[in-house]
Amino acid sequence: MRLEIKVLIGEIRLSPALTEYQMDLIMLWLRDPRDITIADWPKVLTAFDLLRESAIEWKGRLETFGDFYEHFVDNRYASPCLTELMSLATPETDGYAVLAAYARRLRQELLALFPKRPLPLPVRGLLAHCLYWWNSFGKGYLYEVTIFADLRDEGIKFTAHDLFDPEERRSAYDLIVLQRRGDIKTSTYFLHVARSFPLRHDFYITRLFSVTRRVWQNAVILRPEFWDEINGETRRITLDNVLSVFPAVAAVSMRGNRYVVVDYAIWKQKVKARQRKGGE
Amino acid sequence: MSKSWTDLSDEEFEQVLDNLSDPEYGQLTDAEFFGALKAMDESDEIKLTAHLENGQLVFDKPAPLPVEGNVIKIGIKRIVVELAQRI
Repeated sequence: MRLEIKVLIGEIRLSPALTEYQMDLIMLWLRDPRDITIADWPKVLTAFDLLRESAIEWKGRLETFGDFYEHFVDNRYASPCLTELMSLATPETDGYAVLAAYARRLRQELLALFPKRPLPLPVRGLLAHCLYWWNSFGKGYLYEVTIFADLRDEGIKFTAHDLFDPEERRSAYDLIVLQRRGDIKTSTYFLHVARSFPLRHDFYITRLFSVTRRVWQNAVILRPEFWDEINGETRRITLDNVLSVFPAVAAVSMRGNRYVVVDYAIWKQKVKARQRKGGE
Repeated sequence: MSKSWTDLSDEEFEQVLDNLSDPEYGQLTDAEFFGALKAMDESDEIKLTAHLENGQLVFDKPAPLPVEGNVIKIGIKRIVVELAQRI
């Protein structure tokens, strides 16, 4: 089946607040977020916000890049892609190929809308915005699916939002465990979210590569009240020193709020123990 | 220094976009993750330094906020910081 796209594209304008320096930071990030210096992290996240606020005239309406992404990308790609991801026997290993295939198709569709070559800077900005967020959300969904499967395998009781329902997919939280709302986020996406402190939810699950142990591991960042409820012990520590303690439990202060950082496996043990005692 | 947006050919730019699909792209180490959180934490802070002059606290200049002597000016408000005498 051939999908015909008839769209009217007008002017594309990068946000006037976006500086050349910020665009350079975005390019560095697109190439490899690890090239960003620690001090530049907050700046690059702000730059991405400004890129999202850039404007495109589409179907006679002026939309932000953020709105265009919702209409042109998410509304058309997310559900079919999720269906494919869910149908995989081992999504955590095979899912990336599916995401990459969708990304290639999306890139081709976007390129077809802009015949002018070389691609003007605002068009490159739009393509970068759409492809960056597609890959970011796609990897996020894949990570979510993997965590949901693991929690089921572990026998942990939880309620997950319905990824096939566009409204629920965009719901503020991804799952509920012991009546606590949680989110599953890739590490870079968590940093995008983490700017709006205090964090909205009771817990966040993310994935990090342990430099000292040379393994990928999942971490849970949660409110102290939730950790207290599942009878966890903590050791108060600064963000500087969290690595000397992690994966053991650490209590840290982030942007004036206290949180507990704990290895996912330890968190699961505590949740299971609480659920065995009748916690819902 | 890597090429900027307009220095890249279309093919090079598309290669950058393809790179976003790499499973490793955007995966951070624990050190990078907590380092970034700390940087965000610090970006909320406004650090002022001061010294003592004739027993009076004086803010150093240049400062990230308008300061004069022992006074911080925020809009029409003036925050006066004085050393307390403890016996």
